[in-house]
Amino acid sequence: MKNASQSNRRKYMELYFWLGVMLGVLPPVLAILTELYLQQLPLTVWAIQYVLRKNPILWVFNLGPLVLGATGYFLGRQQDLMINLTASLEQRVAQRTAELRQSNQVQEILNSLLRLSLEELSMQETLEQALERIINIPWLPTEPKGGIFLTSEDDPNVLLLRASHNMAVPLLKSCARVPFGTCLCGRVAQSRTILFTDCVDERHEIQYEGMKPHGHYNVPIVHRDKVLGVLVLYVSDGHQPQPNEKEALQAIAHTLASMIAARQAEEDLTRQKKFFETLVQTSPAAVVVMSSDQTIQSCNEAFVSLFEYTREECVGQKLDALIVPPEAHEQAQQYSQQALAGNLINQIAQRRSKNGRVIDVKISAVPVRIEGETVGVIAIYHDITELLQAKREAEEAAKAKADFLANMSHEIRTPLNAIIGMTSLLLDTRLDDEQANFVETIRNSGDTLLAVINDILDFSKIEAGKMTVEKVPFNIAYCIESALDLVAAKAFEKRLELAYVLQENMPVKFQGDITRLRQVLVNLLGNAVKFTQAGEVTVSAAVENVQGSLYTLHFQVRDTGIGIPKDKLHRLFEAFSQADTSTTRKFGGTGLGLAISKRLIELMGGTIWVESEEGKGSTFHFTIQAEPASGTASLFPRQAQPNLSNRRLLVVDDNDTNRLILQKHAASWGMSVSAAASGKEALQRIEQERFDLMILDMQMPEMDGLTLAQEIRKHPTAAQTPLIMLTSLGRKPEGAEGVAFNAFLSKPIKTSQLYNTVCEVLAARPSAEAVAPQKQAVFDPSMGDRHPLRILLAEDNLINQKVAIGLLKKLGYRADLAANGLEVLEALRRQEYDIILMDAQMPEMDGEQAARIIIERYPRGKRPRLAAVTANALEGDRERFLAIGFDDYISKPIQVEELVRVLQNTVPLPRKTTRPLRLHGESTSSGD
Amino acid sequence: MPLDPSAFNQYREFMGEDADAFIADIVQTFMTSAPKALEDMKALIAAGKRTEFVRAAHTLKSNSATVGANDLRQLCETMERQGHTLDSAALESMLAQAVREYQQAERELKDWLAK
Repeated sequence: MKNASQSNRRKYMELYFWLGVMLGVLPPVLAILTELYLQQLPLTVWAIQYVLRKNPILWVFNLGPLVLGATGYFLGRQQDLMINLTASLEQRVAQRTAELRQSNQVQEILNSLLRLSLEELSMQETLEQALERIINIPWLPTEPKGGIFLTSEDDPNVLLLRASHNMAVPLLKSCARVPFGTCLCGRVAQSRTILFTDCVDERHEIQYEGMKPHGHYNVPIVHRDKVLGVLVLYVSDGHQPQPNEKEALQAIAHTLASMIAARQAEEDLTRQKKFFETLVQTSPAAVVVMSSDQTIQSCNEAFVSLFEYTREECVGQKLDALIVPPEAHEQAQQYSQQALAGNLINQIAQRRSKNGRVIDVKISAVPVRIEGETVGVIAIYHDITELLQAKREAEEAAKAKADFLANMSHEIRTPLNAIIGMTSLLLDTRLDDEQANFVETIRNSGDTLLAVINDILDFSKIEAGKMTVEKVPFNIAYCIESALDLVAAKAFEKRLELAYVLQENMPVKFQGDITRLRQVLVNLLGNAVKFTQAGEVTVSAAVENVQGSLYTLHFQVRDTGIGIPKDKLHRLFEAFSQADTSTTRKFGGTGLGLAISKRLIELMGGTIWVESEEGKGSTFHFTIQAEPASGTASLFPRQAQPNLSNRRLLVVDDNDTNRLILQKHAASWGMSVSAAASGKEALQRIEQERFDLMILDMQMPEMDGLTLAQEIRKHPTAAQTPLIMLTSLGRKPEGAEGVAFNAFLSKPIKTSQLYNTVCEVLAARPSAEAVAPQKQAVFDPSMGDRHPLRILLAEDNLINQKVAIGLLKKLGYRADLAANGLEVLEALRRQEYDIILMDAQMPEMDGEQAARIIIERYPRGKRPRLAAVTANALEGDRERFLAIGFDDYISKPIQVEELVRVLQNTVPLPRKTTRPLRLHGESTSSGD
Repeated sequence: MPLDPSAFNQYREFMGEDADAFIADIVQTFMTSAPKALEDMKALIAAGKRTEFVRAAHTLKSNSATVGANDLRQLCETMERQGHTLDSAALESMLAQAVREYQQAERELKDWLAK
């Protein structure tokens, strides 16, 4: 076409040129001929020359051919260009049209592939239909033959022939499985680039007999960098590829890739969905799916069989209306709300089946969330009816066991107590040495047996998780003192010093379980005394840490005993473990004590540990957590006491710890304290200065307390100084009467007792003034005058009345009487009292009830002090009464010391009236 | 030994010269009230009034402790503790035992007072 247009162009240019020349020749020829004719000249060369010479204008005409020829040339050229332009335009249009048609067809095929992907077809059908469409693209010079391979799911380096069209039968077999790198398709899968061949060459590895020559397009199907498969198309032998063919095939492969990928994902999803559906349907747990308004959307087989509703009966119904019993509606509603709010629910509850069967279920519920929005809830119900039944049975069995154990231990303990009690009595009778030895052994064995039984009972309680700790107000100082009391006898026998010290200014009233704390302390103290031959055993308590209202209290029980070998330390707190079996033989014990202590301490939120050095002693540490009880006041005053301040005290004790404790306490009350470590030193001190009071330890080497006291009583200046003797177990040493001690204090030193005694001894005395020693100064018959109180005795029992009134009278008090709680209230309406001594058990209204009413009616500070008097000397009774609101506690039969202490601690209420005190008021009533 | 004379020791020491009169008064009161209490308890068992019975046992327990009649106290304590659970026959036999204990204690108390 180009050549043709080129020749055309030339033709037009020449044609127009010559036409122009010829048209240009005409005017000069006509002009010359006209001139010749006008001049009457002949047509000769001469005549022409003549005319030309004569008419120079003719030269202008002679230029005609030249001008017109040139014009023609240019016109021709113009024409030529026009034609040329048109031709090329036509050509371009045709080309573009062809291109458009092709791309349209590609587009169409792509569209149809996309449509295919939207249809609900299996992968197989999709591939087959896609293949059919691709090989039928009209412009593609393919033969209507081809196939699609997909990468195997099991082996990502193998192609599997998944769809084929018109492929030769032998190939279907040999191409069913093509490893990557093998034959054309395998190569393409590896190289990931499109491959074209126009003949069967050496790369065409898979061949068969009678194969006709052909070429191929092998197109990799790649999606997100992953080879999904290969598309193979046949072209005729010797086909010249056009560039747009590759492009189109690329686009098709691309679409095919996303189609296959989508289909694969879909298949995965379907498979997964089926898997989960099967899982849910065959799950032994009842599963129900609800919308956010708790309408059931679906449920599984187990749900149907558990709740006895058919699926049709469930779906569309509200879950709660079907299976929640009316009384649990509110709670069920809460669970649903919580699940919808996005929380996981894990609860045990009761649900009801269609037939009204009550089922114990464990409910797990999870919110169903789609893109952050909760659209429903899945609830899972495990039937635990049988489980709970089994649990109940097991618990009953455990309870029966525990009851049996408790009963047994009671049954054992009752006769055992009799054995111990009777042997104690027997020991007080006249026995010869051998008999005494036998009885002593029986008595000790009884004690040991009792301890073992108590330990085993406690341990089994703890093991069964039955041991609970109480939370009632108690006083730490009292707790430690009462623990020390229990080991005092043993310590005395071994001549061990016992002492305790509280951190200065620490609160002493806490909420906790005094009985358990005391048990731990007694255990540790018992061990300490048991394993110490000489020296001392001390207890200390301190606040280790305060977090908000929670205190961590640190206790230490230190001894100077045999210590524990390092390699035995770690097993110390295990059950049935003592440091050594030989230890058991030598010292006795069940080996349960520390294990029990450890558990008890853990129950109280603490830990226990030990530091020990063999031969030097051990320190057991433990912590507990407790909140201070309201009104955290010290049991005894910590601040300086006016009547004690600056009074001079001499402490004589050879034991450093005891001396230090005494010094510390006295100093905290404002006393000026000196100390001496021996009787000799003490005698030197009294030569130098005078004291208001001396506290002497009984047991001291060289010069004991009694000898020292005798010396002091002989001393010219110090003879009249009040003396307090420190003894063990309150046993007055023989000969003490002769010395006239003003008071005896038993060790371990109880702070409150020390305080009261010091106060009492010093009360009536002016500073450092000599007063004749009194008999029975501990119980002051003038106490009623010194410390007047209005007392109401609430007691229905005549004997108890007589005892109490007799004792009070001796102290200088007279009390009014009430026979029951009602009479107490009646008496309070008539008159104010400073203290009520209230029997716990009275007819009509008992003491506990009366106390509650009084506490309710009269505010603190306006009501009398309430002291409970009870014959039930059970452990923990005291705490129980204090918890009710009683201020104090006396056990029956009434001990004089206790009565004095209670009265001493009573602060009279401010008197309303100015009339004289009715110290010796008339009885308002008399019981019995 | 059913009687523990040391029960009064602390009072004796404390009351000084008033001690004898004081103790005698207490013991006399005990010897008048206890037989009556034992009779009452018998009637209460028969009437099935266990709460009252337990209360009476409690009172007698307290009183026998005061005078040092330890065996009687122990019996009373058992009756108090188990007064609601034991059957009448058991309580009655226990009570009979208590009466015997009381008589024994009474004899000793009288001897002791005479001294």
